[in-house]
Amino acid sequence: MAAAAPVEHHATSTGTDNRKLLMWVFLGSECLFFGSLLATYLIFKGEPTTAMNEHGLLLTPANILDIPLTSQSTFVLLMSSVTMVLAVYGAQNAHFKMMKLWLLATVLLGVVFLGYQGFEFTTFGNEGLNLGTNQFGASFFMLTGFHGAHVAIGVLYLGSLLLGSFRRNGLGSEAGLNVEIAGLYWHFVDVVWIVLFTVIYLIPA
Amino acid sequence: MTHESNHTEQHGLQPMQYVQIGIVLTVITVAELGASLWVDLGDALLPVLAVLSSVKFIMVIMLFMHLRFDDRLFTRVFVVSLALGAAVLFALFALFTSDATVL
Repeated sequence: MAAAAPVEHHATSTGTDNRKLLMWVFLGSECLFFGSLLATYLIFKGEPTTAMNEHGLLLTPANILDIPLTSQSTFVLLMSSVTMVLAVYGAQNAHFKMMKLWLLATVLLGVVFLGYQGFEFTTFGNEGLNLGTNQFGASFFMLTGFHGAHVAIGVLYLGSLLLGSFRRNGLGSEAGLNVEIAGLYWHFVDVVWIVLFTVIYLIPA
Repeated sequence: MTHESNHTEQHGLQPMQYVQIGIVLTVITVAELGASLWVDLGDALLPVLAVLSSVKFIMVIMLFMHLRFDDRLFTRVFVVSLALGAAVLFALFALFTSDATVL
């Protein structure tokens, strides 16, 4: 073929790209998922408990949550949204070095966030709080654990795009769209954390 | 052979504007921390935190997720889903915290 193949535009009845619409519908279903988990946490976080750590402190949200530490991880995730949107900008404007740089930064910030969460979970475990300790523990680990799983999936998703961008053809003819759709997922993970951080950590028990 | 190129319609803001939004989000987060930890707002704490986190939420979905610049269909899909999610949350919470006994 002498000339480059024309880009295929997928005509749809909605006038929008089906893959992007699919991601928005998926994110919509995630609203229901996290809404249910958040409701469970709110129901159980104030339940009376007799579980204590080795210093005789009751394992309740007020006694165990470390707000300064979680504020740092919140800042990291917020900044990852900025790096992600810069990666999308790079992909949509054919600045592929910029795209790779900011994708890499987003992946690294995601890994740092997971590190903070791993540290928090380990600390709570050492204090005696785990999934089976009390209802607060069960609902807390389910809620933040599922969010962490979403971050981990996002890291893999963005990591695969980053690796793909180093291939000879990069991310192909629709690099902008591919990175934008991944960006939607990543920003959603961030907005979920905006809600969780406020509800779990900042609102007193 | 198809090469990596820009074929997506570009919409949204400029990189410096995204950085500025990131700074604003950080400032709001610090304000949330201040309201929760360093200032005694009493009964006003809950509405203040709700407003601050809502502002952050809306800024991210409108500006970073491009809902402000994108097709209205995406906004409708997300807002309806968000409303359903909120309804599920409130329904479950009311169901399990109500003192009323169903006979």
